[in-house]
Amino acid sequence: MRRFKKLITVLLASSLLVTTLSACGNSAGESKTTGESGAKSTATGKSIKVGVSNMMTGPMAAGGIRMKQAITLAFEEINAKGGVLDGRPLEMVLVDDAGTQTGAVNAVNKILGDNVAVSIGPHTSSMVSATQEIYRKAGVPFITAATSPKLVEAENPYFFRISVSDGAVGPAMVDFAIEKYNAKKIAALYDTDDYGVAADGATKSFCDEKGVEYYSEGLTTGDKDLTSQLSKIKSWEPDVIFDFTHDAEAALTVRQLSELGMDDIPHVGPNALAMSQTYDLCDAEQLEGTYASTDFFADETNETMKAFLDRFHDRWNEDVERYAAMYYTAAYLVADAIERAGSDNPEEIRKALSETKDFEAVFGSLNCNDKGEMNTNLYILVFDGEKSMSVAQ
Amino acid sequence: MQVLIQLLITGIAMGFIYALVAIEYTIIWNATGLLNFSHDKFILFGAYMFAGTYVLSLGLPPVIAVLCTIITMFLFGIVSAFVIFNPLSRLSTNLFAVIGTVILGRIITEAVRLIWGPLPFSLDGFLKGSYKIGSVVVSRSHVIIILVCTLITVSLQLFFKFTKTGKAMRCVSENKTAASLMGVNVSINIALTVGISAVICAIIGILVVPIFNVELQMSSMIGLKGFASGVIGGFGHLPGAILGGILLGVVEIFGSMIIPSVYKDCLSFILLIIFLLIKPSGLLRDRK
Repeated sequence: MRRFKKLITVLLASSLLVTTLSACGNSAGESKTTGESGAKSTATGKSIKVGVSNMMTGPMAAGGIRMKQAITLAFEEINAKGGVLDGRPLEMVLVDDAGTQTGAVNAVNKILGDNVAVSIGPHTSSMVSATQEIYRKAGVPFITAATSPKLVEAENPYFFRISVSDGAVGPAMVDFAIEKYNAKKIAALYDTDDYGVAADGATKSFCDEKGVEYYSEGLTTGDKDLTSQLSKIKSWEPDVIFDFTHDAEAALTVRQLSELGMDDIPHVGPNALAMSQTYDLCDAEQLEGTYASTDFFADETNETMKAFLDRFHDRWNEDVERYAAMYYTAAYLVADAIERAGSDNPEEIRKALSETKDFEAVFGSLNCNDKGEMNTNLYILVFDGEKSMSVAQ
Repeated sequence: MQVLIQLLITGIAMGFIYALVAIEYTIIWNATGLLNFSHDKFILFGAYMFAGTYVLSLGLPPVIAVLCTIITMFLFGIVSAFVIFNPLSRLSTNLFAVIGTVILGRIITEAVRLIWGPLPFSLDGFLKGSYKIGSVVVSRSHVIIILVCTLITVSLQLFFKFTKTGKAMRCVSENKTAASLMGVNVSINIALTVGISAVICAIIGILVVPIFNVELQMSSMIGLKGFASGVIGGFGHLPGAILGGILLGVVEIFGSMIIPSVYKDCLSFILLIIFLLIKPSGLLRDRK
């Protein structure tokens, strides 16, 4: 019995040790904000407060770091040029929302308690649906890059979105398939979560409209073997295959399509496939000729984008990805709206935001519609045999 | 028709994976009377060791990497037998041992996370490609899974039937006291069994690398389904484990042709519940 006790003690101690160590491992990534300090502010007036609900900790922390860096860089640039409204600097009220719904509710309440003029974030769709009523009650507009089409159902006049809604991605992919491949039959693989179901629904109704036959098969996040779904799709003989899945499943789809000898059918993947953490999981050869739809692409041939990529890299010594581009744009949009409103009154800024027209973002122009949706710039990218992408449309 | 053949091959390949999982924990159950709840973590560990260390960091050619992984995992199995299985199987109640293996699983997962990091990765070009027979396309990894699994099951049976060590292992699983009275060293025997089990786990891990990504959750579902196939075939019975595994793989993939594919996993567990209710002894158990 003594031996057993000893053993259990050792086991417990080592499992504790492992847990603590792994916790340290997680937080180590956050303090990696290197690079020299930013430009000096030349704006001297009373600062205008802008709330930022940012996932500094938690499961989305990697994105949170980029979001913070992007907004910091944009505000430094704006303030160095004299700020807004004749010399008033923008001041960031940064609060951690930990990437969770409860965290976001607390963060937004704290931001609103600070009397901000306008706010940026939270980022994910679930966090936005948890907080958008708080913003509405407080009468403060906010800008997010969340993508769920359900968010506009709340008809919240204070909600502004600068990313492309998942509901708009499917139809754009259908247009591409018809134009490029004269597709009559489109099959899709979708994740049965919020995102996949919405994208599948939007694509289906758009296909009905266009007179294209549509067939879709669902999967669950975490599925490893997609053979039965893909075999069913194969026997249906589609002209083009879509998939609306997340990182791991998007990579598996590419691999298993090839294993099942379906390479010859054109495949348009989701925005997850356009991110390096996903396409690094794929074999370069299997990836060749695959398309990915995304609302962000670090297009170095585009001058505005190239200049932004360089500035971001100089400031933080990190590469730009979707988070950075989106929230850099959000920060500039805030400055533009305050300037157009001519005041720091939240209601005036909301009105200015809703009237946004031809705002030049790094990835294209933004136009606000009556639902607060601003972005319709969707890229369809194509992979070559070396995992690099170019714009197909 | 071609779709059916294609599905049959995929089903059999997945079935063989489930069968190997069932075999791997059945031999430990037979030797020690313990359920190794960390068995799917052994698979995870093997896959990471092979892909992460031997292939990606050390740049070894796959064949040598496979050998190295097998040797390391065998040693790992022996060590965990002396540290965990042997002492725990002597205790009065099995509960301690169960907790012990669960904790071992946690330690392995966290260690994997610390050593290789939380981000998934894959091996470019490993067992990639497919064979085309007429209009049927069979992926190379599935063919290799079927071949390797058949080889392992046959050689395990031969080992247990014809070698002295194999016979001693069967003695230990029949009756530990009698075996030790007959001069069989029970603890070394258990260590060998756990070592062999760890080697099978490593092979399962290596075989699924080309079809799955290498990630922390890669083995949890095959672990559960391997458990289900053991129960379906007859718990603690090796031929039953193989039959149960293949049956589960095939039923699962053909079932998903009729019902929506999303419910594929449910199908396996419904089958498990049906067997527990109607024939708890499993398909082959009552022959004994």
